[in-house]
Amino acid sequence: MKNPTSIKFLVLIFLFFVSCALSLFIGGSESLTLRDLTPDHFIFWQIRFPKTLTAIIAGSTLSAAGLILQVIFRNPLAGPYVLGISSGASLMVALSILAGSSFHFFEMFFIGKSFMVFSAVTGSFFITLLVLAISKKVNSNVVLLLIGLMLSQICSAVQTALEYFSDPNNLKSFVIWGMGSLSHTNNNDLLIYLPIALLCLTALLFFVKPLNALLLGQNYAQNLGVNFNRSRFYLIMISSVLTGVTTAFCGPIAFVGIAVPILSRMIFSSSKQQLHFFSCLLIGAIILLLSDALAHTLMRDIVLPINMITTFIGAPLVIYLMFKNKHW
Amino acid sequence: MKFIFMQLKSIFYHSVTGCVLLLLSCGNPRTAKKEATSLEQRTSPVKYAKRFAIVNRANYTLVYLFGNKANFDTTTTFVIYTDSSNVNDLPENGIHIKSPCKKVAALSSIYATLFYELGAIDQLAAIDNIDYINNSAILAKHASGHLKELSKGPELNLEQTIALNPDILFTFGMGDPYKDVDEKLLRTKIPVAVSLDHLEELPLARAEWIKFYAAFAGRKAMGDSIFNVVEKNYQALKLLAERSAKKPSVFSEIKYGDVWYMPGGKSFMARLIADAKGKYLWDQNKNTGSLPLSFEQVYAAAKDADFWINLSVIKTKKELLGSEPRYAEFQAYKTGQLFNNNKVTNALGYSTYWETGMIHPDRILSDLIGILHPSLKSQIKNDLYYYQQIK
Amino acid sequence: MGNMPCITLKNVHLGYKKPGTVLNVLSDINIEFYPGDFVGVVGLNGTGKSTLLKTICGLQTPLDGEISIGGTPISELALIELAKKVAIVLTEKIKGFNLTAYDAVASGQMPYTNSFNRLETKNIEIIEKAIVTSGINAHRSKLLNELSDGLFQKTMIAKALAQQTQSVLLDEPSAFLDYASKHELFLLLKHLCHKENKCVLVSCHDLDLLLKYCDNLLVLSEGTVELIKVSEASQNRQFMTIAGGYL
Repeated sequence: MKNPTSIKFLVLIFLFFVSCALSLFIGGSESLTLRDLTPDHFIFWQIRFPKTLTAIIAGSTLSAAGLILQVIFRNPLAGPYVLGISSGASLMVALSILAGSSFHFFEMFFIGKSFMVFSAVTGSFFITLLVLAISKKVNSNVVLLLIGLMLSQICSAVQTALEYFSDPNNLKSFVIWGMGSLSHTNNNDLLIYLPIALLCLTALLFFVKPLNALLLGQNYAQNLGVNFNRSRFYLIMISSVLTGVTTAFCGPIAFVGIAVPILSRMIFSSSKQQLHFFSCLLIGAIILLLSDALAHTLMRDIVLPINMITTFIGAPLVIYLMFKNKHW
Repeated sequence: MKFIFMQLKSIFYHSVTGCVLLLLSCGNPRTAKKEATSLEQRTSPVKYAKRFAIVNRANYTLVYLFGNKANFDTTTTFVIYTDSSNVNDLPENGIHIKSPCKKVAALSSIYATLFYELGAIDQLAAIDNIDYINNSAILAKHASGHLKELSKGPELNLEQTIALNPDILFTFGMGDPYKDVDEKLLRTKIPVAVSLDHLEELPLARAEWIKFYAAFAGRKAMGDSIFNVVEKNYQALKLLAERSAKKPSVFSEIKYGDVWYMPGGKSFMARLIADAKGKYLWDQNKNTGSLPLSFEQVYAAAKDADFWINLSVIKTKKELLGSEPRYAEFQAYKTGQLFNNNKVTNALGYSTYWETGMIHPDRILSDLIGILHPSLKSQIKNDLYYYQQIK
Repeated sequence: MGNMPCITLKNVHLGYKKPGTVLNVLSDINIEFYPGDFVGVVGLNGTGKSTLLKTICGLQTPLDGEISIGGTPISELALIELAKKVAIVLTEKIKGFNLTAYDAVASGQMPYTNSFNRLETKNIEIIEKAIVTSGINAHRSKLLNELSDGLFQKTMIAKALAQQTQSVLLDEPSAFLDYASKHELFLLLKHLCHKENKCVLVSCHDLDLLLKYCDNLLVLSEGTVELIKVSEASQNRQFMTIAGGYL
């Protein structure tokens, strides 16, 4: 009799492949079949393939980031954006799209949207540095969380000011960025996105013990030989890069980072973080892949914004499961 | 050690040379414009528009699109030919387009209606969104299933566009194709023309863009003739307005939330008002876009203005007051001199002003003169095209 | 007691730095604890019992002075080595994240497992023993937030046992235990000291328990500490003050 954890994993892996197929073959304006696949099939290789791979990477990175932060703060309300990473990225993108000609000087060096990606990366990077510097000085988790919240608010406020004074066309452009999209990456972008994501996720494997120790709280973790401050520093760094790189290529994607670790804990009753790490990668990818397929097929001719789908379907699901389940 | 130093020196000098060459080569598009300008003077049919140029040669036509607000570098060059047998003689630089284009995607109601006016509606294969359209021929073509919509959502539906595979896709933007268009689209073989007509400062310049589209549609004669009529009417109306003794004061728009976006002094509307011999209250301003003003600022400047035009989607005075009761304080409101350009709209409220007004600024001018100078109304042959009085 | 002390405090000052001032809680602590010592830590509320215990196991740093574990100053000990030498049981609660009582106890073996926290047979044996010794065998699969306060404390004590350290520090471990369990705990601690040669420091408000089971008392009052034998307790002025006349 196979152990239930293995069975659940097999089911998840199966679901993963099914959702990949759905996203690749029906996630667009027409359904494709395997027979359509030729090496130079533009739509499949240049549009569907990067979109699906982006969904997988975005789903995994955000869920992993969410897992890390929920463990560090021992709070299921924590998510990848709780330390202000997405607000920082958002602000820099707002500056690049909405602010006046001052930024056009920099734009000369970039082709097309790479300026936007660069802005988002810079924004998350600065906030990350700030948060890391603060985390070295501040022992208490609550204080760190509050500071992250405040940084987030500051970025939001500046962004609102930019929105208020901006040209309506630019504003629309920016608002669309803010809705998140899995379809803006091309295969060249993936050459950067994928390695960074893989690097960070692999690095996380070296932090299995600290992650498990952190569940017990700062004091007990330290008493068990885990350097709390150092572990927290590196874990926040990893989670910030994961979040920052995804926000740079996809815009802010809602919901996934908070909900997936919660779902993982509901599905698997174990407390082993290494198990949840892998299950979060799978569940995160599955959710975004399915959301992508839905976004393309729910309404004829219109592609719905990804954040709308993930939240509208995911949030009620989590609420329902909360009532049924005592694990979170 | 010395060897390494020599190597480094060599690398340094090569880099500097490389950079200098790079910078020099970046300057090249200006020579393209210069070339076009000088040729323009000889053969170009483009008189007012600054953002495109047409150069007619024996076996082909060159169409240049010029950059964005900040610089005038050529962003795209089109080589339009009619005879396939000469394909090898065409200049290599530029996108080769066989004219007339049979499958056109026009992502704006302006361009789509233009194709209708050029008599080329059969060549129109796709538009952005049917919701914006008033033109009955285009509506009929869509109803019969022969017209695709490529931009129902906020972004272009890339897959459908690729599946359609149009001969040319017209869209609008800020002048940098890499930013205006999804770069995946740029990588397909579909030719994209990013129209910059909205960046033109003069109404006649904007109207002249019909020649741009006519070149692709293979309707040069039609395009020229339509524009000539527009130009002639426009000049005549302008002269007519000059004769008026008065120069009434005018302001426009309404506020959105807290902000009142007032067109700048060098904007399209400002120039039309000036040509209609109206005193636009912000004509001293040098902006071509909009100024975000507060209600107070507008009130202070315009409370005694004679005319208030372009009131968004408002159709009645009641509606106007409903959105902001303090509008009643404006003199223009009290005297009922409120005119909005939504006389003819479709079911969803989109006005014909946008569809045809851009190519026929003479009609807008005619309307404005009729509004601002009632005494001259008898000399204008038509009723108001786009404007209606708000009662 | 001629052997090496397992805990040494030299010129230790405990307190808090505030902007502009320094708040001294305990000063001039010079004390040694040896293997086999069963010490009860007494003091009125707020005298620094928790602070002292947390400082000894390295969770807090003293304002001044040096603390050595097994002869080596804490500052020179690798964190993981310290983890193998001193375990602490605190009053704080842990909950959520699917942690069961078993998981909590198993975490006590973290200093001994590999970086993936894989539990080998030898680790599991120690965990099992700790569970049985603490009397929580019947509750091992329950989630931490489902345990009663008393069972939770027993679980944390089991974890400290599983940590297999020479010294064990406990901060108010008996607060929520029922009468019999309180006594069972102290008997267990006494056994650990006398039979397994551990050094145990327990802070507790229940003076009767301490007098009954401990060998020595560490009395905290008026900013100082004093180590006395249990037999001398009734003669000690500070102790009797703490007792408030009820002993």
